[in-house]
Amino acid sequence: MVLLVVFGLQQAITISIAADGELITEKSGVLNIGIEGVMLLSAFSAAAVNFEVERFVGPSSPYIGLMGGMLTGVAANFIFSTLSAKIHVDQVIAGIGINIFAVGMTYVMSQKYFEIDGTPVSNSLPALFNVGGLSSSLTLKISPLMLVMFVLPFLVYLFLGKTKFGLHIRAVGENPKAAEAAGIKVVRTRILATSLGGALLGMAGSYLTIDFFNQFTPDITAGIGFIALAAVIAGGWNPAYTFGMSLLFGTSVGLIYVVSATGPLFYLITMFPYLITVVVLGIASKRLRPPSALALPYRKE
Amino acid sequence: MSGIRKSFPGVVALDGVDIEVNKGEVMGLLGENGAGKSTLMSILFGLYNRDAGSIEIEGKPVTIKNSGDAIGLGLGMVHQSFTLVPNLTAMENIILGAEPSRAGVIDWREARRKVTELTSQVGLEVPMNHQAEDLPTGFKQRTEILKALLRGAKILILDEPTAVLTPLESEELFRSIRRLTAGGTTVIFITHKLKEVLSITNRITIMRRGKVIATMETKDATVDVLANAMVGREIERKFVFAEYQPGETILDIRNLTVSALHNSHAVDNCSLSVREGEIVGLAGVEGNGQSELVEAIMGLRRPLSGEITLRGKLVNELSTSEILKLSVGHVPEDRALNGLILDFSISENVILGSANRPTFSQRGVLVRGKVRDFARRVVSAFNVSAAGVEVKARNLSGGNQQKVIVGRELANEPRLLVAHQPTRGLDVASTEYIQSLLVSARNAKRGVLLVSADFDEVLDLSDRILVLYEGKIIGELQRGSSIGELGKLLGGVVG
Amino acid sequence: MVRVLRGVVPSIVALLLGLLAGSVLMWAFGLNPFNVFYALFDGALGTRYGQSTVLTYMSSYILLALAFLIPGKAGIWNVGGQGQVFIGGITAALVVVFIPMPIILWPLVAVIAACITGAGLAAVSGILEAYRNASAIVTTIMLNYVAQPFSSLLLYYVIVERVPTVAQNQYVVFPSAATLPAIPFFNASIMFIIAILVAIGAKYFLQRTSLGYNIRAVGMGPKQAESKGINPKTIKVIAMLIGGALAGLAGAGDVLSAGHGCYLVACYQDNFAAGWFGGEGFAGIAVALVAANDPIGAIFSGIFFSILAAGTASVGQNIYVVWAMQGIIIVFMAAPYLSTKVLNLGGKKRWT
Repeated sequence: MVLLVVFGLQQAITISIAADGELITEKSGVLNIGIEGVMLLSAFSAAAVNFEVERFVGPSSPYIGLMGGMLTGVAANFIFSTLSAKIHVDQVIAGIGINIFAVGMTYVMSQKYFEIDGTPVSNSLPALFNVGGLSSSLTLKISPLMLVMFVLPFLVYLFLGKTKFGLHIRAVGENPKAAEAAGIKVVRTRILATSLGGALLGMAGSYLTIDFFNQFTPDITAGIGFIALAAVIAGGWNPAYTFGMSLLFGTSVGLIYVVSATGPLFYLITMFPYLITVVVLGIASKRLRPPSALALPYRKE
Repeated sequence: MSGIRKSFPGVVALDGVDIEVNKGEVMGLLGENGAGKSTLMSILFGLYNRDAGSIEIEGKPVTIKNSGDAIGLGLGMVHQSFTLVPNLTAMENIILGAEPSRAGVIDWREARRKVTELTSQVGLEVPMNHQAEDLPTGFKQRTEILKALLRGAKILILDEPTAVLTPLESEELFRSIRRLTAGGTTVIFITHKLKEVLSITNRITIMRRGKVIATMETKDATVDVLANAMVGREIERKFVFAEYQPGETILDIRNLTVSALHNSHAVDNCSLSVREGEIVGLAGVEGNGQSELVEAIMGLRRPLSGEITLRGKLVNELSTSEILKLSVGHVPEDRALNGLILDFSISENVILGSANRPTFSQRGVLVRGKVRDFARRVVSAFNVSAAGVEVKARNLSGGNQQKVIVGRELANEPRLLVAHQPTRGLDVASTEYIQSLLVSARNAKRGVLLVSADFDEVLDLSDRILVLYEGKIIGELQRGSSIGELGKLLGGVVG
Repeated sequence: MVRVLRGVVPSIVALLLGLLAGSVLMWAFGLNPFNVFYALFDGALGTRYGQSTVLTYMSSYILLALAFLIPGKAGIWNVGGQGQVFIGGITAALVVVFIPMPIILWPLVAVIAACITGAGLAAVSGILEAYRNASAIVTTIMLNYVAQPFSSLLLYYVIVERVPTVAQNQYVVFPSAATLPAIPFFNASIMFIIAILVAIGAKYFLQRTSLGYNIRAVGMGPKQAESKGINPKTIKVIAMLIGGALAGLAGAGDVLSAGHGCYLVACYQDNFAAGWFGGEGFAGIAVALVAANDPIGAIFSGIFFSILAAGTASVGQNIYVVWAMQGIIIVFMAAPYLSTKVLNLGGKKRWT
């Protein structure tokens, strides 16, 4: 049980932070199906920046890698939202495109770029502190990003609810016409919100390479991005519920590490988190209402 | 405003309109649907550009290119359909775009102070922490008014403000309007309701067909004078009606109650019937429950209670396709949204919903010859002018689109035709043509339920007229009833 | 003619932009794009082996493009082609392993069973979207992740136990009576002919049958269709069933096609290593989009992508280069506005 909590929390870090990023993006009316691809690109960038700094500058801090990953997230989401807001790229199709691009691109890059077969082990974020004695051999490393995971939903809640920009984001995602009538620049607000969300996607992706796995492997995100997307939907676009869903989904992913099953059980446990997600979506979606203008391009009349 | 002209393709919406509004008064702008009231005000508010004419505010000529200009000049407009963000609170909606803030964080104390000050001045209380979508319509409207006032509106345009309000809410609105004008705000009150315009305004301007018919002091006006001026028209019989000899009852509705759509009235305990060989006009201003009633008849919306009987069969629980099979034709209210698929060709559109029928397909395969023949028949029999039946509906004019829909429905020779706003937005020629089709359907012993907000149309065509007001049928008139009588009923004045 | 051109030009523009971006990528890695493309086309078309590989890729790509675009015509997103391929493939394998049958009937029953299970998996998402309001985009992707381990489970613990394998579990050897007939001269089965026929059939189905017509009507005008008595929910589920069945068919093709022996494990291992993401299900989406969702167009764009994929493999370049290019091409295809505006073709809505 303790183990499940430990691994569940660690898995929830990626899901929850990514979900917070996607939540901000979707609140502004932009549906980013490319979440998985953006995270993958960020995960790669974080490792690559780290690797590069080590090679040319000297001992690198994993925080530099984290910055690199976040910047990649911002850039990717900025390009995506600009394409969709300015030239009306279909958000769903472009999102699928980004995902496919990211898988291919990071794979090629990781082979060519690191100039070695496989990927280098990078240094990981220092633990804030370790919790020992959970079981005979295990200590729980409390990553700084775990702290972020707990704080972020509050911050997102405050940001969306209490700040001027947050109010504008909610307005353009729900009724862009009304927002425009009130003097808000719809396109700019959406691009900014999506870019901001991209920073969080970047952070979530980077966590995988510079902390959890300590290295980049192709397709390292393995659908975690989509689970985060599902957490936003099942959480009803509410930061607190989304966090709850992230914990639930994170725990079901963590199950894989706890059971450390072999044989048939391994496969059953591997499919479990995704199955749970489908079931939760099937139960929850009927009553949920997404931001009214989600995935719809806005055109001035 | 003087000499305002505006035309839309095929229609002159405003034809040299002059109006004058005095500071601090309530000016009533009276007219039926399509008279040009809203178009005129949209020009004033910068939503449309005018073709000709000029606008002066406090003696100075002004140019208004967009709503931003209008707001800057102290204009505020409350539209019939609200522009609120549904999941924001009333307070958030009011301050949206004009938030007092410190370092990006909204200063709620300051916001609350400002808004409270405003509400206490004009007496428009709103539960500020409720989400806009949960607010009763009256409060939504107050929120809109406060939004305009917070941005410094000195001239407030209210477009059909009571159309969606209960009588009690309307009275409260009137009290606030009086307080506003006492404080120096000018109000332009657009309406078609006679009693209201008499009770709230100082002066009344009456419009009809894009022209100003009369302007008078409210104290000189009476219900009859206004009703005649608003509806007033030359009586000419454009159509040839066979003798009125209604046959058996096709559609019978008893005590029907249907829940409301957004921004509209629920159907409340309505009863009506349509017999063979008659046109029953269901008159009423939009949003009084017509859409809900029609959707219930067509099986698109389940009634809460009551009975709908079609040709002796109870259809409450039947699906739309089953109802259509009882020989019912339906001309839906919005042709682009509900009637035609614009990216489909004419021949694809005329078989919508009947592709599976043996008339058009054999063993699941469409027989193209039959489909094309049918489309050609519709095109030629109903005077659709198109380069061919493979032309996309998008490339047809509004009139031709509507002819395709009406043709599609009448070609199957239905026993009952439900026509919902069949001529809205059409040019004069197409309007008359469509109307003549309805008359010949009637003469051919079909039953026609004509749901319309066009007074002339209802008076011209109907054998019997039922008036729907706030979800209830409040009166029935026979052919040749006095115009004033209809005007009064439409305005909610019974007896 | 002009109409055809208008439809084709944006696809070609997107393709060229994608290839250009791919070239930049290669150049950045110090490769000469011209040499690479030459080697690539030569590898795909210049040898018997390359040609066979093209034909094999082609059958899956075309069918999976149809699996995406037919539900798309009804306005529902089937991003689950990959999962449906897995389920279809494993079903066909199970039938072959457990239910011996006379020749001809054997592969036929296996193929039908694959279509049924593929359709079933797709229908789950269809029903969830139509009746529970749960977006099919998300649920189809999630079910990809369910289908993959599930079929691995069946593969490694049910099938491999029962049949001989060769080359360290690289191949499961199926009796030749159970496999699809091979075509002469090439190391490929008749599957690619089936795929082309299915594509032509799909065009006919969408344009000429009443059900196909209703599917398009629901995709283009759900409200209009509903007001004329067509139930959009039922139609969406039916469209998903068809899409899933075609993906299942592609899966059966993967498993039952081979010149010598049936390389089920090889097939699946390839996919596992790649992760489902880069797999053929997603290539199918690219094929459909470049074809502007036209079934006949899907044949041609399917051929093009097959050449790219087969050629890339033959020159020893990693196939992921192609995937990166596919992603870029898709993004450009998502911007009809861009190509129509650039080329001044007039606004034309291409999707659905």
